[in-house]
Amino acid sequence: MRIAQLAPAALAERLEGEGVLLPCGTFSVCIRSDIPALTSGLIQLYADFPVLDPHEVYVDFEVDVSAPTLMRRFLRPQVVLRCDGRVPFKPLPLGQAMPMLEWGLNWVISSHAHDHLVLHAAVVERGGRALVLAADPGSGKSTLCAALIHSGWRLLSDELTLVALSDGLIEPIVRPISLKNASIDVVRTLGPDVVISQVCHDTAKGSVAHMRPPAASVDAMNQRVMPAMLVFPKFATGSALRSEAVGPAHALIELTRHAFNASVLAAVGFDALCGFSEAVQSYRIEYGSFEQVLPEIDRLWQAQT
Amino acid sequence: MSVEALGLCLAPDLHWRVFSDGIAVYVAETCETHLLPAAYGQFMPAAQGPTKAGRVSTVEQTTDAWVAIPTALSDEAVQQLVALGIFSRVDH
Amino acid sequence: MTALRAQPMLLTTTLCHPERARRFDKGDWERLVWQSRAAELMAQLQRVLADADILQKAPLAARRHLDLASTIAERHAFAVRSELRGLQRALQALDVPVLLLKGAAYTALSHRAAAGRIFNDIDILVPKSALRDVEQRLNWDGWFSLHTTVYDERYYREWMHEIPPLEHKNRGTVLDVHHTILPPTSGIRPDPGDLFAASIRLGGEWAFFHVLAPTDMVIHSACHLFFGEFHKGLRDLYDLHQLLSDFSVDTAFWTALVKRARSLDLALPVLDALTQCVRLYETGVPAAVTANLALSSSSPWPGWMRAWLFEQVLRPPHASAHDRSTRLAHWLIFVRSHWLRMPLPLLAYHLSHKLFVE
Repeated sequence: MRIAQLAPAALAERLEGEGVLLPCGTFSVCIRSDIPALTSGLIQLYADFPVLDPHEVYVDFEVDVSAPTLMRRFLRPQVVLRCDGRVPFKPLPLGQAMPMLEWGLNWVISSHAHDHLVLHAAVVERGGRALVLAADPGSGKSTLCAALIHSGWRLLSDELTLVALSDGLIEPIVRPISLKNASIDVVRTLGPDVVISQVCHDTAKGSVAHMRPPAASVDAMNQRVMPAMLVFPKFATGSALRSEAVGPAHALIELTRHAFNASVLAAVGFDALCGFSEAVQSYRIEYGSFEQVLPEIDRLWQAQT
Repeated sequence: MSVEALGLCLAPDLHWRVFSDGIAVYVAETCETHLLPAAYGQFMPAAQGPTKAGRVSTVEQTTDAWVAIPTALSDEAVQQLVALGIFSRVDH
Repeated sequence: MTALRAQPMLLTTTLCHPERARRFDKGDWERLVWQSRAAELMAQLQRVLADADILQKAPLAARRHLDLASTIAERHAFAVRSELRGLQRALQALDVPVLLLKGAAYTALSHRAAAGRIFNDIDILVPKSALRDVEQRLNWDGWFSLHTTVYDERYYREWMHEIPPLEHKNRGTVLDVHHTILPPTSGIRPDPGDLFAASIRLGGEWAFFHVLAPTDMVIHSACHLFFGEFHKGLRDLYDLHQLLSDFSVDTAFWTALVKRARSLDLALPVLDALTQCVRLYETGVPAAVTANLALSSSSPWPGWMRAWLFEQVLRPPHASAHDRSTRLAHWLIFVRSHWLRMPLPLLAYHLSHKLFVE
């Protein structure tokens, strides 16, 4: 059964009671909340997600999104996320409940999935192989990711790339794509089937919204793939297209910066980064528009297969 | 003191991988990753076996692979490499 | 989950009797994993279950969490040993005894209490007269004061008579440099010279460091917990349980402990620690020992209240272990711990600052 098949009232009741168990990367997370925005957010962004049975499926984490104190339900209302009693972030204004859930779930994955190398990178798939996009915040990685999945690529993740330590395969997460500021309107124009949540303004990251992941990507969430290409994208308005190959050692050094759990994994993480760098062709691409970068990515992808 | 007199070897608990464009080195003691020019490959013991395609390969470790480094490196380079924890000085 | 009754003893009972986990259902395993994570006892739990051949009975997902925690703990131990080597290099030139406390000591000793233990701070004890030199050497080595507010600096230097915690600029490890094992303002002053005199110099690669004598190690562990806020209560008591199980092999240990505790005027914290160890981990403490310590202990708070307070706060900090009164108990302990550490006017100032400024 999927979220879309639950009546809103039934979904709200579940969220307030036993919770809703959803797959999240390599974990299953039980979400509880009494905040209406969360019910509507899940319906909008997680419509195609399967609702797991908490009596059958092992619950890895319990996440609760609610007001921090009784007072904060009414006076300048706030929302806080708790995971198994821990509070990873300071409370936020109530209007940011859905972004808080998304940031919270990212935290759950990056803090616990230590049987994987966790990279701050987007990853998409085509033809059974994965393309990883690693970049600093603000480089346009999520927007590019959204554009790619509207031109024939499958979404694995827009934010966290999980590389299994055991075999180097990439694990899909397939959650809503996070968009900031100008990219929100850019992504809206990508196609008629684009679904974007309400925009939250004045967050720590500026204006924030999320795009629903395509149903086909959600359905394929258990298909793990080998990485074939790594791109360090950099967007700047008006920029000319520049693409150059990056050697594996240089790619590794740069990728280390984007490895969230490098310090936890220590030598084993280095080992995984070596395997990853060897397995992929790496490129640095500067661009000013989708018209420039998408064909270039296609060209490089064809060349290496 | 000169490098010849002291002698050098690769530091214990060093991990590295030789690539076409350089050598990535991980120093366990400091948790830092460094990039050495490909020419340093002559100082690293040869890889033990072929890389298996599609698998995460093992990386060479120095715990059993002490190697006396020839004096082709400048003192300055040596100082820096020792400071980073990549080389250790061996007392004979 | 809200409909289920609290399971405050799930974790500790499993640590004492891992074979009971054979009858756990999926929900029990889920709660066990959450409680052990909250209490920072995951790797220790993994070890106990693995040793008892129970781990393979666990659901695969539970096993995954526990195995991961164990692997991380091993790597952490490696990192701690690197830190200690660095500390040795930084302080070697000073002719000053440096005593390792708590986790750092267990690690250097390769004691069972170190197994699976994650700790973010390294604690050392040095003579008060050497504090300035030690701090300077540490600064040169890249260790700098962690707290940046003027208020916090004063709190540490003038009121608590300590160096603020130091953080290493590259690695982020935190180092606490103590010159006494209890805050001087608490009114109880074990003579540090006494502790150094009884201390044991380590051998091998750690020959630079000292550790407390077994009785003092137990007393320090008990005091650290009972003058504090119990954040890591279950974990600290598990360490203590392991220390006691080990040290009590020496038949003279208990007598020495009681004598030492009384002479330092610390019979009450030690009595409390032993009582709780027995309650939670079934530590083998002879009845005569607790009776003896009780003779030298008194508290202004009634016995039933203290027992209730300890029972409440020594639960894993997870909802499945709590009932309604747990929060109240935590608040009372918070007030108590500060009351024990400082005179009343100072306490009022400190609490009001924490409440209204932070």
